[in-house]
Amino acid sequence: MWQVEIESVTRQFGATLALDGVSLGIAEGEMVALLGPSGCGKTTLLRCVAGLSRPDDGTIRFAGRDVTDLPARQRDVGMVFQSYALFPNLTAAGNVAFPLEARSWPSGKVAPRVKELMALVGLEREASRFPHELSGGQQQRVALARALAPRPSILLLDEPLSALDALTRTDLRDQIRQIQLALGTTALYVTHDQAEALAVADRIGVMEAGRVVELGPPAEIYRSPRSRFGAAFLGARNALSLTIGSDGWVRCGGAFALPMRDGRPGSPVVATFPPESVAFDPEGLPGRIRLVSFRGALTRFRVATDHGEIDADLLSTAAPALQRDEAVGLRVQAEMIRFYAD
Amino acid sequence: MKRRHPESLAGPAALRASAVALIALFTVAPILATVLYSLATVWRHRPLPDGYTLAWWWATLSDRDFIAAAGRSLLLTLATVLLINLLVLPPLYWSHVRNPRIRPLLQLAALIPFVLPGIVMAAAINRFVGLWPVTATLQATPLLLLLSSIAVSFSAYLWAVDSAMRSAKIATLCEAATTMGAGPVYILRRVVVPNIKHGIAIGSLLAFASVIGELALPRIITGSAFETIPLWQLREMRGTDADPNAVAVSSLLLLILLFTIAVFVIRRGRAGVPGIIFGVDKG
Repeated sequence: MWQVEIESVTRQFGATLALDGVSLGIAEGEMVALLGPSGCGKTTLLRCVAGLSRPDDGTIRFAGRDVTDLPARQRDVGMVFQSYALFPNLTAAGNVAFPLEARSWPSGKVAPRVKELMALVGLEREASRFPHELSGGQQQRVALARALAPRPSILLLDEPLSALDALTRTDLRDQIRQIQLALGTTALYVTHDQAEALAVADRIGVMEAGRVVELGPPAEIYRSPRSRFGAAFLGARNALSLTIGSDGWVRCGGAFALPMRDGRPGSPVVATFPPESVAFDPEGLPGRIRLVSFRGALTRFRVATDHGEIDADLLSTAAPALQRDEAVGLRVQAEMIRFYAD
Repeated sequence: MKRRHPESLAGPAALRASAVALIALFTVAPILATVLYSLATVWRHRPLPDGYTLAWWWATLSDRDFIAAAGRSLLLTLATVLLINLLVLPPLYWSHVRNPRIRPLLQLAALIPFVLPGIVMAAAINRFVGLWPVTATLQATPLLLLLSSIAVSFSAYLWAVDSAMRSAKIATLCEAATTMGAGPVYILRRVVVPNIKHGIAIGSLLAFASVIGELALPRIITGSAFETIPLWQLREMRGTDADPNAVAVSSLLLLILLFTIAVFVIRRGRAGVPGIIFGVDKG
């Protein structure tokens, strides 16, 4: 049985269909990330689960119990907001104590629980500070502690890291995942950042126009996206427009040649592959380097070819010392290529 | 080439100091003149009065009519502020948290007192209640004056509190509190009011100031039947026994009262005041 079960949920705002019959299940202790661009419906779905928005149609169940019409305050969820939503008039400890006091916990149990949560997020020393005295990362950790304080059956995170700087984002991302695993909390995590979704989730649901178009473990949907939208959204993948040859093969110069089982000869197709699947090979597809971009562990080469520009990511320690305008050959790992109808 | 210091873009220091002094003079001069006038024995064609006395202050503070008018003004103003809080705060809160569609209606209604002069509104209200026998009984009553004062002064309150709610992101805070299991009353008490209390205080102060100094409404609606301070001042300025010095004293008393309340409000919510007045987010 799913801990959270979303069945054919539809939500419309005026003429806009924000959710188009979405179905999704989350197992106990699992973290599912909803990934998609702005306006795809991921936050609307999260709000429906939280009880802050009511679906026009469909059912939401928590551990088999229908909660579709249950008010938000009776749902036993903890929610972390993009803007932190800490109460400015309360200290960090006061914020963490708020849900416990609102649920009438015995006063003797509130203080130890607050202390425990502040320690969990590493903010024991900041307990008496007000939100405006904390950094963005600290505020979001207080918000996480506050959401977890009453031991909710489901944790909801609405783009919790998008207002933070890159370094804090990475640190907090890992901390959220560690805490979720340690507590075994069931969680739904909304983000538009594919790296974030890949790093934190047990499964990722990619959303497009109010529908879940991909659902699976991160590695699986990264390597084998089923839809072209999923392929495009799950990383800066190369996409080349090609044609199926008369022998049923798709060829891209010396970069790759693969047989197509379905698809008529002469039909156009789009081949997509991630930048890390491209390697330099003098016998490969000829091209000329347009850009060399050092990115720390990886170096990206953008190469102009007869089939369009192709990005190649190589480990910086193993990357050849190539310059702009130098001629190179490219080869693509065949198992990383996915074809979609053009 | 020598680089210009960014500060010099604002002009030479002397010019800035002169501008500030000019504004200060423009603001302070009328108050200073009123203070001198309230203390003057006689003030003829000289820069300063011929002599000084506290007699006008003593005479005004012991004038029964003035004390009665001040009592009526305070009663009317406090009742107006209390009722504005009770009538405007709930729908405004609702418009932020549940139904944003009613917010433009509230804001539109709040624009009316700015575009219609008080005298026009007072005459319109008087005519309007006279249309039906049931409402006609309200004519010339303090109750109608109270209702009219609410209609005329609620806009200042609404803008201040609306801005405070927007600045505090009340809608998000309420949603957060709801997901934590808090009920509406608990949220109002522990989240909403503490985070907009400075907006409420400033809105109440603005409403207070506009009602206590309002002349057109009491003059047209109740006339001398419910004499407020502005009506008393008007009476003191007319006739053969006109007493402009007493008017100066009463104006200063009002100014002191408003200034004291304003200082109290601003000191209590120092950080929040610019945001509330100008609608600027803190974050």
